[in-house]
Amino acid sequence: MRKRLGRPWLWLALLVVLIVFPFLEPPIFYMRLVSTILLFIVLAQSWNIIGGYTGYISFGHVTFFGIGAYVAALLFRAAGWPPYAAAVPAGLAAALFALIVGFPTLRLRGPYFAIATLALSLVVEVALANLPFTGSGEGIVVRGGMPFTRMALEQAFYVCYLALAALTVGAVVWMERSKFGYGLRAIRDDQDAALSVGVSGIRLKLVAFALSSFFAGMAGSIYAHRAAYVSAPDVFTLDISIKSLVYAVVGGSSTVAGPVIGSVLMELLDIGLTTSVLGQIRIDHIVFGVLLGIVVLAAPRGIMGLTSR
Amino acid sequence: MSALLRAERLTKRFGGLVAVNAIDLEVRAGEILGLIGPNGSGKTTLFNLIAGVYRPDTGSLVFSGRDLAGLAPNDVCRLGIARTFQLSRPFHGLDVLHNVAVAVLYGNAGIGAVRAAETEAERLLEYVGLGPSARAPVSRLTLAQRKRLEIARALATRPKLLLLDESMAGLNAGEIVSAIDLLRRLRQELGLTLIIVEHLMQVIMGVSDRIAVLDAGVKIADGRPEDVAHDRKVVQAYLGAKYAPSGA
Repeated sequence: MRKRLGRPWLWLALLVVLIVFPFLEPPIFYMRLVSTILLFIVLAQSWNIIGGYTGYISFGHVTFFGIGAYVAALLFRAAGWPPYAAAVPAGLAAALFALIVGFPTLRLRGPYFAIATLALSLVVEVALANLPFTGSGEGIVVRGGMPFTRMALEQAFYVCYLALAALTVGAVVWMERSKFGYGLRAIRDDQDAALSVGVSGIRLKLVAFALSSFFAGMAGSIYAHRAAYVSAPDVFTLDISIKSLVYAVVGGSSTVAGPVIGSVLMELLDIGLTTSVLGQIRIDHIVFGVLLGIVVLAAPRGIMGLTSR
Repeated sequence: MSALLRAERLTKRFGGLVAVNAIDLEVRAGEILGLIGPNGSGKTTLFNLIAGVYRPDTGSLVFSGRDLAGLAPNDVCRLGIARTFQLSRPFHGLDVLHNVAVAVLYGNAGIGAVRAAETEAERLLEYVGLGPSARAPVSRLTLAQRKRLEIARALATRPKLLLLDESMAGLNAGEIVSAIDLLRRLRQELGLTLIIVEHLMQVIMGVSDRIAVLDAGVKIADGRPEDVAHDRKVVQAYLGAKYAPSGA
């Protein structure tokens, strides 16, 4: 088998550049741009755990992102928790929720899981938009608890996203070469055959779903503070589910590098499209749809599949 | 010899069809039991019952003192029963080596570290004659090699009982000879008990200690190969009443 990781020093060099970058005090625009890309690396890579390695295509990744955002908002409102402190409980809440909903839905096969996760994200959005303790339709303001100057604020969020992206990518690097990771891929390729060699199907799938949701929940908690405001329509937008999936698949799911490359290229493309004249007619949706179709039909292993052919 | 596996009145229905009908079967430790019967006679269903894929409607299934009823396939594997699939079902996203390594990690080998599992998988691939293909993707394997991969993967779980579902179908004459040799080695060198399903009569007659014959879900004969071959009911099931010796 090909070495999936390529050259480790390249990744290390990239990480060093990314760490140094914000402290050179670059223009805010570029820092926000990189922050946003890092956020999508977390989302696409965490989607990759359940959608790529386990083969359970989720259309509801935003559910766990949104839950994380709400947990962070509630912790901030109740006790003034800053984003980096809220990230862990937010991630755990998302993971717990994944365990609960995964227990019935991970028994479904094929497209049924995709439909179930999509439905779930819509249900959770409506629920959180109407519960009194989540601020109902008004949402929750999450402002304060972070540094003071504009530059320092941007740097702080940048560092949060970078740390989270490194953690998520690191987890998948570990997973690739672990007993757990091989078990997941066996389930993905042939569930019955996997069971026949002793892989405990539902248990592994639940752990994968919880892990995937954990990272998405952490991302949500930082996003809540970044946006300074949490409301259900914002943090449960279908866009996030779609982007997580598309970025991972276009880059190449079931690989470490795929979702990273996909997030960088596709997010740049997305920004280019939405800020263009055609952005008003949501040209980004059209392009993403067409691109996804092309990838699924012509290059199911994504960009990574093309490079290693 | 004591029974390693004992089925009593084992029955499985699919709607109105009784795929396995009140079958009694005993498998002794160390023996090779051949399971034959025309298409649709319930051989694969019986395998799936033993492997935990299906839950029996009635009857009991006991493996070395443990009741198998209601156990999931992965639990059955952990008890020491491994199986191959009639149409090979490899993990396409993993190379040959890791197809086997997964089974080492999750079976009964007691190996939890990936490196050690890879070493063990290499050893098993050598054993079945797939050593040179270890790093190849599964898609490169020939049919005969895929059948061997199925066997290596099953062996990797360290079973006591191995169920082989048509592991020689589609092989050419030379490949069959070496496959038979492998089966014999599995018993002699690894001390395995085998249940084999095979349509090639000369093969199954040659390697089995005992043969059980199924027809339409019912066991119609069970005995030494030479006796079974001349059994009136068996000949009738395969060739029709016209060819069955009268009397007997």
